[in-house]
Amino acid sequence: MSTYIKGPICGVANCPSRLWRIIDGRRTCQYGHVMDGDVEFNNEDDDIANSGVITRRLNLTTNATGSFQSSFNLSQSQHLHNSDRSKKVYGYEAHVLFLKAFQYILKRQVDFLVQHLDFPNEFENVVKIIWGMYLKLLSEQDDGNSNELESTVRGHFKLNSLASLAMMYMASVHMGLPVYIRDFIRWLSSAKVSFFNATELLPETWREKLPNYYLALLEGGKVPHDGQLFQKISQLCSMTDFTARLNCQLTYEPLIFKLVTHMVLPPEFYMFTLELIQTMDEDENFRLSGNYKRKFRKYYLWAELRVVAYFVLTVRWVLLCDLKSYPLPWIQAVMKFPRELESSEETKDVHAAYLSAQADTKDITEWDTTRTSAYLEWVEKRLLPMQKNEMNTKIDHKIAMRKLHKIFPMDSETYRLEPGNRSPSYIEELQEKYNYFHTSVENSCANPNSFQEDPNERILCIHKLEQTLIHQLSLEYGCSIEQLRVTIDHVENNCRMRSEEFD
Amino acid sequence: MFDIPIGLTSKRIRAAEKLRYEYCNNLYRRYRQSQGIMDNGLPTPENSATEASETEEGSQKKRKRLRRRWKTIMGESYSDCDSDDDDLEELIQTGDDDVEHKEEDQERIFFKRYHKPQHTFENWQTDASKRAPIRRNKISFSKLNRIQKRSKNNMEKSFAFASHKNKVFFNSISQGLEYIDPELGDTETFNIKHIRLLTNLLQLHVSRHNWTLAYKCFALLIRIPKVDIRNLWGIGDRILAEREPVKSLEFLEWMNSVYSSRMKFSEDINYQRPPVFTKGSRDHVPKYTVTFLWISLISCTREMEESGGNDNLNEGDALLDLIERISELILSPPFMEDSEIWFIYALCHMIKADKLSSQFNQNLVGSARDIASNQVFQHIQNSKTFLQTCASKGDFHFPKRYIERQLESFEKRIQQLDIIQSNTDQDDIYHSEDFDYHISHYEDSSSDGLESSS
Repeated sequence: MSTYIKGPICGVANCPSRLWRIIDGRRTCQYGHVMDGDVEFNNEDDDIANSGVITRRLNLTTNATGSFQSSFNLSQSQHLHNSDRSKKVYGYEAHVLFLKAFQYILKRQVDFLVQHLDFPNEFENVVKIIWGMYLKLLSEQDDGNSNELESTVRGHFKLNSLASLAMMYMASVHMGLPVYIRDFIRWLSSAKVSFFNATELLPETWREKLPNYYLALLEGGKVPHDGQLFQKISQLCSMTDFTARLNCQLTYEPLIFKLVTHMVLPPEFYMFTLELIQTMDEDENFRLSGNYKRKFRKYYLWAELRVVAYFVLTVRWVLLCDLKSYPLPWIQAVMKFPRELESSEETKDVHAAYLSAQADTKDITEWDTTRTSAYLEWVEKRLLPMQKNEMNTKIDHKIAMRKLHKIFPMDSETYRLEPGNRSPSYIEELQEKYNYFHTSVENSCANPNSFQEDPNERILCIHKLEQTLIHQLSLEYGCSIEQLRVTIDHVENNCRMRSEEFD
Repeated sequence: MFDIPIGLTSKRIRAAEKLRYEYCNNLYRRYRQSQGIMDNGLPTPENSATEASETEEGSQKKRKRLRRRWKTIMGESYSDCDSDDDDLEELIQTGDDDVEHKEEDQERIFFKRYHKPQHTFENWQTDASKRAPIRRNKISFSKLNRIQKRSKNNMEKSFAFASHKNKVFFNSISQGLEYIDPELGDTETFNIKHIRLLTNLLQLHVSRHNWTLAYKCFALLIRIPKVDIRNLWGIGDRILAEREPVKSLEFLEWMNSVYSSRMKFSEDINYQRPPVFTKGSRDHVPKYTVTFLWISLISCTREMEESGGNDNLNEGDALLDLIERISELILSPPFMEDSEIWFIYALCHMIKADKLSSQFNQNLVGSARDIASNQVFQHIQNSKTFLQTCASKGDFHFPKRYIERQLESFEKRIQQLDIIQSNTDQDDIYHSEDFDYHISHYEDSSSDGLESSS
C-alpha cells in the first residue's frame, strides 16, 4: 500500500483530511474523496514495480586518507555508536561501579602524591581508613533500611570529585602533614594532580559503562569556589566518625610559616601570628568540625580559614601600631616584585592557579610578553597533556589532525630548549625575593623625604595591602572574599572580647 | 571578550533558540495577517476576494458568539476591553493554526523562508546607488505592540515549560536587549576558562601584529580537542600568511579536503554562531573553499609570471590541476549553484588561453598547428560559457566587457599569427603588460567577490 502524502485540505463535504495517496493514478484523500482533474498517467509498464520505491542518493565524500566514504556508511556508524551507548549500566550495578570508580581515582591521586610530591607511605593507609569508614557508613545505612528505601539512600552518596580531595586532606590533617587546602587547590588548578581529567584515569570499559551523571560527578568542572572544599570536608566529617576516632587537630604552625614566606614578610610576623593565636584562642577551635548545614554561615568554624584570618589581622595590627620598624615605604614595597624573580616552577603554578580561579581575566591586555609566554608555556606543558582524547575519534580524524599539527608545529617540536636554561627552585626564588625586598626597602628608606609620612596615607596603604592580601588568599583557598571577611570580622570581635576580659 | 571557538551544545541554549525562532515565526505570521497577506493555502485568483471576506465574516461571527458565551459564563465581570478581545482571537486562532505548527520544528520553519541561511543576516549597503528604497508600508506603534503581544500570547504554552533562565533570555531579547549568556560567564569550567583565555590572547596578539605569540596561541588552541578549527581558520590562515606564506595554501587545502562536508545544513547543530563563516552545507559553499580556490589561482598566475612562461612543465600542470579540481567541484550541489566558483573557473580558462596564445609556436604546421590553435579557442569558448553561467546565477558582479575584450584579444593573437604566418619576427606586444594588469585585477575581484557574497 502506498503511503500518504501531505497536501491541501480535501474540503469535499467538509472533509478535514490533508493526507493523500494515489490509487489507480488518481489522487485520493484519506476518506476516499478523489481530487478533481488530478490524474497521473503511467505509460511505462516496467515502472509499476518501482512505484513507491524511495530512491536514495549515495553521497560520496572523501575522507582524510582520500578513500571514499558514503553517507550511508556514516549513518551506519552512527547506528553502531548508538549500540555502544546502550552499554551503560543503571541501578544497583551503576552504584557499585561508581563506588569502584571513585575508589580507583582516589587511589591514583594518592599514588601520585606519594610518588611525586614526597608524601609518606603511610598516607595511603590513612586515606584507606577514611574511605573504609565511609564505606562502612554506607553499608550500615543499607542494613538499616528496607529494600524499598535502598535505592533512595544509595542515590545520595555525597561523593564527587571534591570528596576525594577532602579525604586526602583529612588524612593529611590526621598525620599532621604540613599540607593545606591552599596546596591542594594549587595542585589541582595548575593541573598537577589529575582532577579535571579524573575520568580519564578510569579504564575504558568502566567509562563506557558508567552513566553520564556519575561521570560528571567524578569530573571536576570548575576550580572549587565559595568554600566548596571546606563544605565538603565538614560534610564528610559529619557523616563519618572521623572527628571522634582520628586526630582532627590542625597543626597550624607550618601553615603560618607558609603564609609568611609566601608573602615574603620578615620572620617576626610568624611569631606575632603564633602569639596572637595562642593568647586569644584555644586549640579546640582549630579542629576539623563536623558542623554541616546546607546554608552554613559560621565560616570561622573552618579551622584553616580561622588561621588565615588571624594572619591577616596580625599583618593589619602590626603595621598599624609599629610605625618605627615598618615605615610607609616598607609597606609599599611589600608584595611588589618584578616578574623576573617569580620564575620557579612553583610560582608559575601559583599564577596559573590564580588564572584558573579568577572570575574575570580582563587584564590580559596589560600582560607583557614574558607573562604571556609564561602562560602559554604552562598551557603547553600542563593543559595540553590533560586534554582528553575523545573516545569516538576515527582513524581518519586522527590522521587529519596529525596532518594539521604538522602544518602548525609547536616550537618545542621543532627545536629543543637548551638544557642549561633551568628554572630556579622555589627556595632560590624565595632567597632572591627576600634579597630584592631588603635592598628595595633599604633604598627607599634611605630617601629622607619619605620619613615624614601622612598617617592617612599610611592607613590607606595598609588597607590597600589588606585588600590585595584578602583577594589573593580567597583565590588560593577557593572561598569568596565575603567568606574570608566574615571570618576576619568574627575573629576580630573575638579578640576584642578576650582583651576586655583580660582588662 | 571574544567568541570562543567551540560548538556549545547545551540543552538550555537549544531551548532558548527554539523559543526565539518560535517568537520570530509568530511575529512574522501576525504581521502578514495584519497586512492582509494570507499564508495558509493558495487562494485562487477568482475566489481569493470572496474567500478572504468569507473568512473575515466567519471569524467575526465566531468571535461574537464566543463573547456571548463568555458573558453567560462569567456574568458582569467580563468586560469588552481590548486585551480580552485578543485572547478571544487567540482561542479562535489556536483552533486551526497551532495544531499543525506545533508539530514542526520552529527553526526549520524559520529557515524555510530563506533560500540560504546567510540571507538571514542583514546586509548593509553603503553604496548609494544600490540602496533599496525604504519600505513604505509602515505600521503604527500601537499596532506593533499589538502584534508583539499577540505573538507572545501565542507562545504561552511553550513559555510555561521554559526554564527560568530561558524566560529571562526571551524577555530581554524580545524587547530588543542584548543578553549576555550566564552559561558562558558564570559557570565556566576549567577547560573553557583556558580556551577563552587563549582565544582572547590570540585575538589580542593578532591585532597587535605580534605573530610569534599569536602563532603559539593558535597552535595550542587547535590541539585542544574541543576546539573546532572551522571557527578559527581565517585567523590561522592570516597568521600563516605572515609567518610562512608557503604553508598557507597547504593549510587551506587541508581545510578543504577534511571539511569538504556535503552534509545537509542542519540549523540545530551549531546554533551559536552564523554558519556561513564556519562551514559549508548543501546550500552554500564554505568560505575556505572559495578562499582556497582564489589563492591557488593567484599563486598559479604568480608562478607563471615569475618563470616568464618558458617552463611549461610545472606551472602549467598546477593550473590544469586547478581546472580539473574545479570541474569536479561544479558537478555537485553547493558548488554548482555558486556563481563565484563559476567565475573562478572561467578565469582559470582565460589564463590558460592567455598563456597558450602567447606561447603559440608559429613554426608549427599542419595538424599540430590546428590542434594548438583549437586548444586556445576551446579555452576561450569555455571561459565565455562559464562566465555566462556565472552571470545567470546572479549575485556576483564582475567587469564583463573588460574580460570579453581580453578574450577577443587572445583570439586576435592567433588569427594575426595565422595571417602573418610568414613573418617570423613577430614580437608579442601584449604579453608582459597584460599579465601585471591581470593579477592586480584578479586580486581586486577576489576581494570584491568576497564582499558581495558575504
